Amino acid sequence: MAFGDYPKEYNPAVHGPYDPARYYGKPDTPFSQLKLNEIGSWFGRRSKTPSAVAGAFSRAWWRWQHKYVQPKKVGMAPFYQLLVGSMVFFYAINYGRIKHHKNYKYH
Amino acid sequence: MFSQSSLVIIKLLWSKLSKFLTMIFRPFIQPRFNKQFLFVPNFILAHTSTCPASKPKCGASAGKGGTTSIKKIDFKRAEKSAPCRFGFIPEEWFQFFHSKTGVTGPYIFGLVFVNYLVSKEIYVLEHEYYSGLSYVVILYFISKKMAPGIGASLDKEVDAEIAEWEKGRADQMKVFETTIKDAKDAQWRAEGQKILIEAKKENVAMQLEAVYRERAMRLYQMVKGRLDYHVKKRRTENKLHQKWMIAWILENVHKSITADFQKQALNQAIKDLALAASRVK
Repeated sequence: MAFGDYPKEYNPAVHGPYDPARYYGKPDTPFSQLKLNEIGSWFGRRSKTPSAVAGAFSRAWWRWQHKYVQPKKVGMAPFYQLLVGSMVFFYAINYGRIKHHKNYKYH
Repeated sequence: MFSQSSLVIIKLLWSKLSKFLTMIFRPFIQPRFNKQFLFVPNFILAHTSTCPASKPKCGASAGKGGTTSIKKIDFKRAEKSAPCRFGFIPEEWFQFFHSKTGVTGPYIFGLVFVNYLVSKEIYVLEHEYYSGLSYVVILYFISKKMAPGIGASLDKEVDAEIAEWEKGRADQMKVFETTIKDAKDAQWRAEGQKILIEAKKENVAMQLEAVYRERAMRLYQMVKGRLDYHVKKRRTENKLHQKWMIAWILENVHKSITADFQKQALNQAIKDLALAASRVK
């Protein structure tokens, strides 16, 4: 499968127009409805190839986009969310450096 | 731009050229490719085996007018983005807490979490924090002041663009509808033409009939005239014969009356008269 191709299981005659936020693979219980002891087996069933992982990230990104960026009249919410998200991410990766700037020695 | 036949020729030449190029660039091309309709080299736009262009199209299996089996688009573009509190925290996170802790739950959780991060100095309040805080305050005041105005103008632009697309579509529909109406009109007129031609045929038939009758009458007149001529000729000849016969008879009679006979006739007449006169008395 080359970059940018549709998923193998997508069939326009059956599924209609392509929705990038939708998982077209074998139907499985959604992650939010899993019980804790089923999580391991659920992960076992999924495909863990790099393209599948990339697909998962892509679908999550598109789901967020459908909800906050693609509507007709969009407020500042997606910008603020991206801002906060990137702030958290960059703080996390710089934490090794930042922790030396602590103000107190004992907490 | 291209006529139908030149397009066919170009496609033919292109298929030949593409076959030649396939031979040369075999290692760089995907193993399976389908019909090409774009004027680009194969190894750039080769369809892979998973490409849906090779699969049956939407509604291809539906047949004519089978709307039931064509998958309709079941997601619609939302009007506004999902609701958020504080500008960026999604509403669902607040609902998540609501059943267990009520309305104040998420705020308490947020406060406690932030307190933990700050007190354990996992979140260090260094100079980045203070600059970030200033940014937040400035952003808040800017959004308070200018957001409604900017929002309204942007909304107007979005609505204008949507209206433009809709108008284009509606205009196209109108064009199609007028075309349909005109076509139906033309059909109706064509039927009128049929009636017109019937009327013209009737007209011509009547004219033919009139001419036929005129000629028939003329024929009758001609024949009658000739017969009349013969009759008149006969009668005239008869009259002439009679006249001449009478004249000839009279002439002969007058010739046969001699002077003697005349004298005898006179005497006889006088005798008869005397007889008649004696009888009367």
